[in-house]
Formats: sequence, C-alpha cells, structure tokens
Amino acid sequence: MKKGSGGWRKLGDKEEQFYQLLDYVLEGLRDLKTAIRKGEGLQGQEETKIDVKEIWCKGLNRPLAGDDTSLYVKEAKSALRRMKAAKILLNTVLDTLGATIRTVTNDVLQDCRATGLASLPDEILGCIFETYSEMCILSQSDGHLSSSKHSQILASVSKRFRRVALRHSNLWKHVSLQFSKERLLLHKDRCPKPIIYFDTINMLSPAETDHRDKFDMIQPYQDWRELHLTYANEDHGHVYYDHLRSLITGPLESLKYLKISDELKLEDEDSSIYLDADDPDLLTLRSWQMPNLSHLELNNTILMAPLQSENVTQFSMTINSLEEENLDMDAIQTLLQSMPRIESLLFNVNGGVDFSHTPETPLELPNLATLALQIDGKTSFTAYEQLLALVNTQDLTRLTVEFLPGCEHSQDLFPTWIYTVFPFVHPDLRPPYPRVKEFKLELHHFQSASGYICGIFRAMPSAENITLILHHEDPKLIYCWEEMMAASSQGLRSLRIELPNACPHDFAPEVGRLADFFGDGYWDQLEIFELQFRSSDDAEHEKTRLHRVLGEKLRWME
Amino acid sequence: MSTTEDKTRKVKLVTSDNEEFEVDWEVATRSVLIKHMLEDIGESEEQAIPLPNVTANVLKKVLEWCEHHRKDPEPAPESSDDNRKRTLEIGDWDAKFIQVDQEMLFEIILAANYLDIKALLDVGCKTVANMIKGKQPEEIRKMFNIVNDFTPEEEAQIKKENEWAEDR
Repeated sequence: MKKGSGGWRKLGDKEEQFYQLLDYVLEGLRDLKTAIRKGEGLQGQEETKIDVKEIWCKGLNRPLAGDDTSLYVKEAKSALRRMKAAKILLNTVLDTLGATIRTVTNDVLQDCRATGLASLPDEILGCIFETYSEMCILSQSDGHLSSSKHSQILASVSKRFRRVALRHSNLWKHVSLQFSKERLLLHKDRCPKPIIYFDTINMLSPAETDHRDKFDMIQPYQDWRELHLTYANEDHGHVYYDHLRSLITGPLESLKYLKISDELKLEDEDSSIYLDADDPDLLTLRSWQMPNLSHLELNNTILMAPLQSENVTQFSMTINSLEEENLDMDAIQTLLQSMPRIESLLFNVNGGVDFSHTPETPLELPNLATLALQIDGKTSFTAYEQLLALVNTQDLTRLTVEFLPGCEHSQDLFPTWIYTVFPFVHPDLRPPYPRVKEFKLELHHFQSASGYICGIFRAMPSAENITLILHHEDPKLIYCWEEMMAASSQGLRSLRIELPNACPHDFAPEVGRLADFFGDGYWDQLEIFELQFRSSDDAEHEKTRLHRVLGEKLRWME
Repeated sequence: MSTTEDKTRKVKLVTSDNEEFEVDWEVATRSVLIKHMLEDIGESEEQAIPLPNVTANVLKKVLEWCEHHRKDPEPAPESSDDNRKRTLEIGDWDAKFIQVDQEMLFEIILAANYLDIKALLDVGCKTVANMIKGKQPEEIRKMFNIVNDFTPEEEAQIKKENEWAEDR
C-alpha cells in the first residue's frame, strides 16, 4: 500500500501518522464486520442499525447540560480531523479501485470481443465482410469508386480473415478501370462476375480515359453484372463508347444494372444531355443486347432512341441541368414505353427544366406500382405536371415524394409543387392515388408547410403505411396527423414520423392533443405509431402520456 | 400467410438451460426456424419447441427484438444506391437494442443465425462491420486479439497486393 508519491503523502509526509490512519480505518472496518455479524446493518430499522458514531469516534460523548464542554470540543475537533483524513484516504483507495475496474473491464472487453469473433462460423464472418464492403463502397461520394482498398485490408489481417475474404467473391466485385493492371487481374481472379466502373470524373482530358490496355483485364463482358458509366462530359464519354464498341460484340448476358451518368463537368456550349439517334455513342448502346437488365439509371442523359432493355423493371432518371432546358418529351415517352415491364419509376429534376409538351395519355406500363419523385432546386411545377402525365397514378400502390434540401430556396414554389403532385379533387370524384398503400414524404424547411400538406392525404384514401420525415420544427405539422387519420378511411396501419431536428418538448402541446385524439378510440386499427425525435432528457411526460393511450403500438425513439 | 387464429396462438419455447418461454405466434415466427418447426408439428399447442443452441438470457433478448419487429412488413427489394444505403444503416431502435456487452452481441448474432432471423442477423453484422470500418489490419488485429499468423511468403504476397491497391 505504500506509495512513493501521490495521495498518501498528503498527510504531511509523516509515515507514522499514515500508518496510524490506516490502523484507524482497519479498526473501523473490523468493528463494522463484528456489528454485521451480530445481525446489525448499515440500513434498516433503528434498533438493528449500526451506531456508526460508535465505530468511527468511540467514546466521544457530549457532556451533560451545564458541564464544561471545552474538552469535548477539543476531542470532537480531533475526531473530525481523523475522520476527514480517513475519508481522503478511502477516496484515494476508491480511485485505485475504479481505475482497476476500468482496466479489467477493458481487458475483458477485448477478450470477449476476440472470443466472440472467433466463435462465429466462417459463413457469418463472410456476411460481416460483405456488409463492411458495401458500407465502404456506399460511403464514397456520389457512388464514385474512388478508393476500394477495404477488401484488401481484410485479406491482410490473418490467415482466417484472408481465407474467408478470398472465398467471398462479392468482396472483390467492385472493379474500376482506374485500378492498376495487377489489381485488375487480382480482382478478375477473385470475382468472376464483377461490377464495372468506368469513371472519368477525376481526369482532366479525354486522353486520360484511354485505358485500352486494361480492357482485356475486365473481359469477358458477358460476366459483367453491373456497368456504371460515369463521365465528366460527353467528350470523355465518347472515348469510352469508342472502346466499348469494339469490346462488346455479343449479348451482355449477366448485366442487371446499367448506369449512364454525364456529370456535365466541363462548360462547353456544344455539350448536350441528348444522345441523338444517329450519334455513334447511342448506336453503340443500342447495339447491346441486355436480356437480363432489370435496372436502368440515367443521369443527365436523354436517349433519343430506345435500348434493347425490354426487361427493365426499375428505371430512374435524374436531370440536374444548370441551363434552362426544354426536354424532348417524345424521346422520354418512347424510351419508357420500350420497357413495358417497368414496376418502379424515379424522377429527379433539378433546375430550369421542363418538357416539350404534356403527354395526352399515360404510358402503358401495366406493372408500374411504385413512383418516386425527388423535387429539387427551382424546377417549375409544370415539369412535374408533365412527368406525372406519363403515369397512370390510379394504379400506383407505393408513392414517395422527397423535397431535397435545394428546394429550401424556392419557398414560393412549394404550394404549386404540392398542388401539382396532389391536386384537389372533388370528394365525389376518384382521388389521384386511390390504391396507394405505402406513402413516404420527406420535407425540408418550408414556411407554412402545414397549411399545404394537410390536404395531401385526401389524395390517397387507401394509405396503410405512411412515413413522414420532417427536417424542420414546425409544430403545426402535427395537426396534419389528424387530417391523415380522417382521410385514411380504409384504415391506416402504421404511421412513422421522423423529426430529426426536433425535441419532444418542442411538440408538447401537440403530443397532448394527439393523446386526446387517440384516447377517443378513433384509430383502433393502427398497429404502429412511431415517433423519432432528436435526443432529449426531459421527454418522459410526453412519452408516458402517449404510451398510456397507445400502449405497445407506440414506438418512441430519440 | 398468417391467419387470425395464428395471431392469437401462443408458442412455447424451451432454451438450452431449460427455461420455458410462452410467446405470441406472430413474435415467435419472426424466426424462420421456429416457423418451420411449428408447421411440422401442426396444431399441437402444447408441444414446446426445443432450442438447444440458445440460452435463456440470449433468447430473452432475441424475443425483445422479435416483439418490437412483430409487424414489420417484408423489406422492399433493394434497388437504388439510396435504398442500399438505407438498408446498411441501423435503425435507431435497433442501434439502442444492440448496445449490449460484446459477449451478448456475438451471442445474439449466433442465435439470429441459428434461429434464421435474417433482419436481426443483419443488425449484428452491421454492428461488427462498423467496428471494423476505417481500421487498418494492425488495428483490426488489436481490436479482436488476432495473431498475425502469415508466413513470410504470404506477408510478401500481401505486401505486393497492397502496393497494387495503392497504385492507381
């Protein structure tokens, strides 16, 4: 117990005094032990409670009234000094115990982690590796494959890690033409069905995109499961299409996903997002047979003639044009109609974009069930009106409307966007989305948004599962929930509301009003009511109030 | 497809340390293993399902997850990058649920694998993947007490591969 430095020396460096103090503490502990053995305790009834004064300051008895108290005061002061010194000593002992507890806990933590990981079968370790790999890929900006050493890191840890990593071909599936030749060969060896990335974003000139010598290393094209073509502008793209023309000469049998993205990086007056029907690049694309392609994604690219992609089920189109564009609706109609099996459509339009005309009749897409609209920037409501005219909204079962952060600067456009996507229809007429069962709305800050969005739920009376992600703190929005209930005559099953920037107490009155509303038993068919807030320490009252009414149906998250 | 009768049915589960749990059918059948076993034994309500690979304290935790997710719909098909990203994120409730000691974390993963509860296994895998993410081989070794058991020849090969990964 003796220490060369530190707490013990606070007693004035008098070792004898220190030992006496230790004896005092030990004696007190012994007396405590004896008392406990006799059946006394530190807590409990008065008669069985240990007289702690007797333990720590034996014989210190207050004189009777009228006697001289000076001796008592002197002894009491001495006892107090001793007890305070002992308390400091015990605090120091407690500190050493605390530090040891932390050390042993950390040691055990590492051992438990090690034992736990060792106990997992290779199959689960492989799942963890694949999850880790996807996390690393998706955390890279805009989906560009700028760095992907993660699988190599796993394969460098130990023999077991390496064995599992090499056995899971998915860890090696992401292949960029920017990889070194040796690395391309390594990936080819480890994953026979790769996802190929042609990405020129970080290159300065088209010449740099000339990776002709590497193309052999990513063959055979028949095994590509995905192809991501991302180029800085159409000149860069042209170099790739030239290569690909000579490379792909038969069906791309494994290809399920094709992404073509023109990032419009270089300012060029001649630059266009159109690939004309007689453009050699589009001729190349059109020559590809893609019998198993299920997902087509076009960014800033409008194909003026359809591809051989009739089995596509998911299509997304993003137009992020800086210039005012009047886009050719005929081309879009023709392209979409060439993919009659489409089940899911996503449109993201940003900028001064609209279309040449409004389609008179919707496309014939009998399987279309899901529509996602991402609204951004200053896009006019006309653009969305025209896009919606492409779709038979009466048959949709899933609808997502997302107002991206860029919209916040276009407050004046918000009402027209809302009325365009959710037009008011007389109650006697069919609503715009009569079959939608799943609805998701993501909203950033809009002044007076509540006044506009309350009515949108009348547009989808069959909604069963609604998710609202509201990135602002307008408590009035909470009143919309009641509107939702009233509108959802067919029976809402789940309502999830995420308020990532709000604390529960910001909504206290509204939560109370909701509790009253639920209390009327109006909404018995509801199975889940989920509320997500920013973390808050003092939300117990609101939570309890809602829980009392909703019971297990309530999911409260902070 | 579950019937109304199924939803009110109770299921008995017996753990490796002989503790019995009675849970709602809807909760128990989040586990594909239990669902198949129930299909095998038919209507017999009294028959308990033995779970010899799961202890009571782990099953209790797993059932807490199943209870919370009892009404979850089938996950939507993975499509866009955004969807894939969302499926790689851990939901807030799950994130809190999985804040357990390391021993329990790995036991939950093993139990989810054995009971065939894919969504719970995913939560466990994501949690461990997050522990590994951003770390170099040496840091991973340190974190999991893993010995570098490569031969000098293997080390040389790995060094070469790592150089290729740098060379862009």
